[in-house]
Amino acid sequence: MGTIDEYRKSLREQVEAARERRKQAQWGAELESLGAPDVLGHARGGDADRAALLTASVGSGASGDPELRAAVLGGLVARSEPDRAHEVPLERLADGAEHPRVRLAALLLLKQLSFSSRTFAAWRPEYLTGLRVALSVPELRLPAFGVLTGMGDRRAQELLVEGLKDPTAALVPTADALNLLSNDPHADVREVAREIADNPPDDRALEAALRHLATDPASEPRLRAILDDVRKPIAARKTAATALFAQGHEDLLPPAPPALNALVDVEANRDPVVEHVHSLKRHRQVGL
Amino acid sequence: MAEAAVETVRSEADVLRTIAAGRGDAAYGQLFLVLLDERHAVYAGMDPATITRVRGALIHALADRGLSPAAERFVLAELESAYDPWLTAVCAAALRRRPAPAPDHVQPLLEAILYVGQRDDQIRLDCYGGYGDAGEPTTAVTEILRTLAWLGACGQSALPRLRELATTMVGEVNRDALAAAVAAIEADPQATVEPGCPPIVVVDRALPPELAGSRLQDHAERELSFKEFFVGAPTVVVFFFTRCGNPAKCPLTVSRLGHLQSRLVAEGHAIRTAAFTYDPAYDIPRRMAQYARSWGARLGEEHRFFRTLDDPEPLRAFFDLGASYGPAGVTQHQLEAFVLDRRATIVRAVRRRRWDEAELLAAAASL
Repeated sequence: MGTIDEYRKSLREQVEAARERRKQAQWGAELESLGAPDVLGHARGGDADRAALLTASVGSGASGDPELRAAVLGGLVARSEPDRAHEVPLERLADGAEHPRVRLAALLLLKQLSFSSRTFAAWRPEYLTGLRVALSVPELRLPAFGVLTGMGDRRAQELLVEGLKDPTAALVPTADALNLLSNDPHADVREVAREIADNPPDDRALEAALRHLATDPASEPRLRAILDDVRKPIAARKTAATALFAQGHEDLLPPAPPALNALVDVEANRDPVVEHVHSLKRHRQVGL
Repeated sequence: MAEAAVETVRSEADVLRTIAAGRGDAAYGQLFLVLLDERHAVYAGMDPATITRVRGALIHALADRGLSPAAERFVLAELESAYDPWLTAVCAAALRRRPAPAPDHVQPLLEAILYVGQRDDQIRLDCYGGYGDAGEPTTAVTEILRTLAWLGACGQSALPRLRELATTMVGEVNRDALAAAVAAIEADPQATVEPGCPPIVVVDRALPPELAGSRLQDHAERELSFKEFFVGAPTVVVFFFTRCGNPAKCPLTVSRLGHLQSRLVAEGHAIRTAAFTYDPAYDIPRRMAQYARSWGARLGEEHRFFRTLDDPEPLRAFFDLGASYGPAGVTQHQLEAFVLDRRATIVRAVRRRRWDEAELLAAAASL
């Protein structure tokens, strides 16, 4: 009974956390749509707008409000020549004296520009350097690592692996490091993932380690042990089941949990992991 | 001392100690070359990022007293399939340590610009791994362009491509370096020698009994022995693996195999082709078939993709494969291709450079 309630509570917390993250990611990051007045309330059109935005963002008259400066940055990029739109955000990202909110806005704008800018190959080196500088700021670490690992950056990979092997050098939590490293299939962290799965610092790290071990045939006994251990978190047991299924082991049903009390709510005796395994099998049957 | 030392080098730390001991000492040159071979035990279990750092450091050390012809082969091979910006920059800079430029340097440098141009990075040549504070920052493309300028008259075959790049290259630093390269090549009055292709290597290695009967599985899940496919007709053999992350290696190998297969069919040659995976545990038939189709290779009775079902060591030993493995699978590999005769004897080999369809076709057709 307690297990089902814990699962539902955990699910509610994950949904709330995801909602909060979505709110934050939108802050200061949007390029303004054509036709809308800019964040300073000026009508669109002409160099005067751009100059005013530049002053409000980085000039001597720059606003002391980082949220406003972040929003202004988006307006500035929208009004810049396409081949040079990256310049001010690059400066902001790499400026150690700039407020993290503004630097994060710059990072998100540059991420969008890395897809649309025809000159991206030329400023890619500077972009990577700016992202690495941003790693020194706790608020910027995860977003910067996210971009770097997505680009297959070897240096980011090295820093994350170093942190997994030596927790005193870790720049992000274990689970985040493992999840970031999963962006690159050649980031070889199986050895570390096995150790973490055997001795996890927390439940998130355990789940992240198990995801890495989905491609490790040698971890089959480890994954089965986690799946069969009803004391392990449900999310981890489900991840172990999914990993075993991915390896082709479809004989997964764990031993039936003991019937605690035949008179209480039937739902309390249903093991969500068993349901998950059945779901995996159904998906395999219909070819998903 | 160096010969004994090569057996004791087993880790990144060992390599760095060896480099520190032998940098600038000619007696260590051969040791560094041995350590660059992908088959050396130091790479067993090493992850790809560490391998990149180690190889870059070895090439950097080899170039210290001038780059030898033997070291040049490793440098050109890395440039031809350029991937990591620092390693590429180290190789481009190392090439300038040859006693003299050569026309053969052009093609690998142009390929390096093509492959690393979209994934360039700001690095420092003298920092181990490329990131740190020592030395001036540079980029892979900048170093490649500097080396093209160094070629002088030997770089004349690069001019059409460089002039084309000048119309599309952006970024002030790279545009300046490109202009300097074009100017340096045009200004050099020396007569040039046409670039030559390194000869295909003649080999004579007979099929060993332990491999003849070993089981293979093809892209269509058919099982057969090695000799069942390879004895009876000449065969061109290449190697790949589906998780290769370098577009200039396995995807290009399979694509070029497709071109070769088309020529074989169009010209009516009774020559088979075979592509073996370096990664038999992961590359199941379905994956191999999908990979072949994705990159334009033909699949059929005479053109197959294979994985070994038995111990892969006899296959690796027979072809003397230049690959290393870590816990997650293949960690690095050379470019290599082979021609086998009707008795499945290896008679030709192309190693550590991109193979040419015409040369493999000529070698196989002569059998």
